[in-house]
Amino acid sequence: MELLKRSFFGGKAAKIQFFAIIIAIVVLFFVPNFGSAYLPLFLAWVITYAVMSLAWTLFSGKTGYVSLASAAFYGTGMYVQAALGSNLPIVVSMIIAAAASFGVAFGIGLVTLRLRGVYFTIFTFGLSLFLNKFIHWYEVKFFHTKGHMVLAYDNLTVYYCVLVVFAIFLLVVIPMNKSRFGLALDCIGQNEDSAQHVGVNTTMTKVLAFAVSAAPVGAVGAAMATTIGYVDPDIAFKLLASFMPVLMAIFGGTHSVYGPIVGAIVFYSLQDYLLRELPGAYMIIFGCVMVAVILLMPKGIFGVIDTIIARRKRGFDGEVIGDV
Amino acid sequence: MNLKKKSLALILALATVLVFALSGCGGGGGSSTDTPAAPADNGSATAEAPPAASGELVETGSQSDATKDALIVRGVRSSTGTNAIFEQTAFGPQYKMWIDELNADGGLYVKSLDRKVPLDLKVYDDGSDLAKTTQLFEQICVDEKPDILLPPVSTEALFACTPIAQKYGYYMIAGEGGAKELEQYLDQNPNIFSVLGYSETQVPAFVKFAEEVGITSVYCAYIDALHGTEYWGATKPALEEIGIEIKGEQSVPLTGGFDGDAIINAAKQSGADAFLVYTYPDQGIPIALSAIKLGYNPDLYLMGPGGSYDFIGGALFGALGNAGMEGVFGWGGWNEKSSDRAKEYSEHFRNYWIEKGDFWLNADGSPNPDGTVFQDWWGHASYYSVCEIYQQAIENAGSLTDDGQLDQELLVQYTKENEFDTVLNEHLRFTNNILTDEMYLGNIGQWQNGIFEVMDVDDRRTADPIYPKPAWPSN
Amino acid sequence: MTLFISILINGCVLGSVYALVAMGLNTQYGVARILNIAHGEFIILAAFITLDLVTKNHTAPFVGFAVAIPVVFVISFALHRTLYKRVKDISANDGAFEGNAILAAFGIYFIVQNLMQTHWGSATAAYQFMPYSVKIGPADISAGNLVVLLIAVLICIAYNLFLSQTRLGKAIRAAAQDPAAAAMLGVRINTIMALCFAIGGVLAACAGVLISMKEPFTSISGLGYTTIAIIIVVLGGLGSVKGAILGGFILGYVGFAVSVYDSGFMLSVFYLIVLVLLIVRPKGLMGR
Repeated sequence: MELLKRSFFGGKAAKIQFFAIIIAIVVLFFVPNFGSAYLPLFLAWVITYAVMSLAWTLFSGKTGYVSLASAAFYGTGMYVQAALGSNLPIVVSMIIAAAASFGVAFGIGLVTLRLRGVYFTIFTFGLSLFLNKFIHWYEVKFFHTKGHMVLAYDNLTVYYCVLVVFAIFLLVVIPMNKSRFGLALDCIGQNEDSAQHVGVNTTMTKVLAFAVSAAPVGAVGAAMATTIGYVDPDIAFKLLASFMPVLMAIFGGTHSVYGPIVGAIVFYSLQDYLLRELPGAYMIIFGCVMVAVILLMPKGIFGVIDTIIARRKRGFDGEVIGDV
Repeated sequence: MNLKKKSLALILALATVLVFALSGCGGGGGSSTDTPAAPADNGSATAEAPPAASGELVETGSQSDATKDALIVRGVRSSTGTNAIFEQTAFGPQYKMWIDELNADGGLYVKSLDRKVPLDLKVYDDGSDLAKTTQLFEQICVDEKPDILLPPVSTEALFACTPIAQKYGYYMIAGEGGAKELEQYLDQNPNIFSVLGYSETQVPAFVKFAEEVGITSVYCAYIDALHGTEYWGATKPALEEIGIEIKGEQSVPLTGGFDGDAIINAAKQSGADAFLVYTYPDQGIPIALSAIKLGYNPDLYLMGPGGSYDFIGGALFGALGNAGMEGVFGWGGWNEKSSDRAKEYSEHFRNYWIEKGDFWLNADGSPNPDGTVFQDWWGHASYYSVCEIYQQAIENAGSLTDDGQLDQELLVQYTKENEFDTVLNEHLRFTNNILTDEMYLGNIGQWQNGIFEVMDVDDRRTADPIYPKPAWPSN
Repeated sequence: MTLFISILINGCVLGSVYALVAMGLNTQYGVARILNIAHGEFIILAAFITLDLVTKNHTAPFVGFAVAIPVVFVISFALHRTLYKRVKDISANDGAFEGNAILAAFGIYFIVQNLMQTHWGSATAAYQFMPYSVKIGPADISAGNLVVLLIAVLICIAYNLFLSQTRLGKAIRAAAQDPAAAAMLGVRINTIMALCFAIGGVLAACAGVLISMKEPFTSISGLGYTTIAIIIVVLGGLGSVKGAILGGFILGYVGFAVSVYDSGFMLSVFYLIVLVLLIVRPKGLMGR
């Protein structure tokens, strides 16, 4: 409780932040009443990527372990929905999907304890690909089928489902960052060995953070599967589902909660726009944007804004702003 | 840390505005420059309820008739990624040619307007990502209110997009893709029609043929996508039933690598009479090349989709071309001998794309390295029929709703109840939204002297079969 | 017996090509610390260059080496000198650089793949190279594959000699082991890194020419080779060239043997190998 108070009401900035979040969510809640019937679907996808990007930042952004396992969690969610969606209400299957992704991530976390740096990245990358190929092969070989139909829901229901996941996740992540747990993750990111020396249970912290970050990804995956209507391994465990959240987070900036959200909004809208207006050339432009983002904004949009504001404050004698 | 929080409210506000700006931009009917001021009530309405879903049939004479200056044609097609090959070579060249020629001729005649209306074509890319296909497909259905909704690219996409088109009351003829499950699926989605032949008619045709020439055993390599699982799933029990032995089978991955030599080794080792390759061209061509290199020459070689491509011989044998394909079988089957309509269409298609400089051959028959379009002796007759059906339905039953959109329900009714004069069949008629066997020009074909001859065991056959297969040519 | 010999030789062929692909990636990662997702795109680029030479100019595919190697070398060198160098400058530390470099490489992957798809289309590209087989014992082996094997092995040997015998090769090895120390000893570390990245590209180009001789390809098949290369590099040990060769051959044998049983299972087995290996021995077979 003390933590919640500190996170949301401790000081002016925290208050502004709390009200901004509440206002944003309320606005998002009423948005579908205006605009076309397509808007909820589009926003649901944006929120999905915002959740995935935020989830990635929660673990990888803090600890420095670059995970490419988003697709594995997202796909797990989709497959849970494909299996249970026709028998259970969507909210229940989403909770089960979240639990399944949590379990998968917890398992991966336990077996990858020894892996550091790029080895961890490759493991998570390989895991997404393995799940894709293996489920694919298994379905084809033993059931002579590929993919499953998923029961459709109307866009508004799906939209509110992902919005609720987003809201819950946001309201969990912000206090978490402020808590001992969040500090422990930061310590691991700065220097894992010294974190261990000062008494952080690095193993448990990492595994738990990884699993917590996977749960909402599974939930939104399950929700979005209903809008596609058909799920197979190539759709569920697609490579882009691993890479896009990372790009979005880096684009927005990984040092705050808002970076990944803004990154997801901008990136998803951009991709959407390019596919519609420049079919056939979207990959080139998208590739250029990725490169440009990394070159020009290594700390993301928020990094750029910080630098500008700081420079103004300090005049031009300013030092380079260090990490916050 | 504080600095960030101050900018937070600003950023969130900006971001929200951005979402609206970008999604609104999709909502407003796109910024297609050649859309001559889309009907006024179309742009501003952004109605919550899709107009056609209400099913209100409005008779002619509404005020939108006078202002209708373009038929909006929209579709989500894969211009990039794994499915791009189909957009480049299958239904893609058909609808592009169709619309281009109609517009050169003043547009498409609409019954209720009693005049020709130009077509405004715009196609979105989905990057071969099905999540994107469904999202953009829905966007088109809701925001763009097309008069003609083009089908998406693969069987998988068809499964996913059919209910969306149905939900918003659209009329759609499916292009690429077809599957047995589609049959029951179309019962629930009565606005969608499918014209492509698939396992339901093709597998029995092959089994009949296998019985005729006396095949005793087979080996099958099938793609681990819907196509392969369905075809092999249908073929295996049918062959076993008539006592043909299955010597072996294996799946081939749709994405990622594989080694053609390994598959050929396994097939060779099995000693089967017939080698069935139920894969897409991306896998079928490497497997065939391995068969040629290793001199694997079974009595019957069946090459799935792609086996009927006019360019297959060029890909495998270079200058020798389709002469090298002598004796190889493929699905589908029609050629210029099938009917006069078929001959006329085939020449028309070839000449059109040669003129555009995008055909794989030049006018003199020499290879054109820049050409990407080629003929497909399975699908093309069906794909062009899609255009013909759209056209004839609109010419005979095209009428505008209050919103100035072509009344989709009337088109559905017309298509259910009437015959069409198409390349595929001059009296084409749908039965439960699909075509029955007799509507097709053939189900199985064989390359003979560079022509893909129809091999069905009935009067559609255009030449005597060659069995066993002659040896691959030595270069 | 026939099958056994076939697996023995064809596994070797597949392994030798895989080894080349992986050696390239390994050189780029080992020294320049860039896990180049776009590696496969340069393989395919070289394959397309060779295809154009064979089909349009009617040359022998070997000419592909003469054209593709310089092209890819220049592109890769320039990429490192401009893009990756700047990424390095702006990255806070080595870990940040590795992350940013992967993402930059992903951008390059998008750009190169789309350019190739625009230029060469999406259809499967193939030409015939020695389309006949020779008998080795009871087994038929594609003659072209034997040539591919020979060339691949020669390139592997030549590259190892280059690393162990030449001044430049020694500098590269020093830089791989300890960049800071190497820099102090007078190795021009930035040039070496750019050179290594370019050499990685050259190995990709060689592999591309050989792959075009061996099997058909499409403008989007590059990522498949990249993932196989990543698997092999992990299998052999990051930064170990000998490990890459060993890993390449292991995967070649396993891959071919599994493919005879069921091609659709091959990639699952590859990924499984790498996942298990990472858990059991994260440093790879030959890693330090």
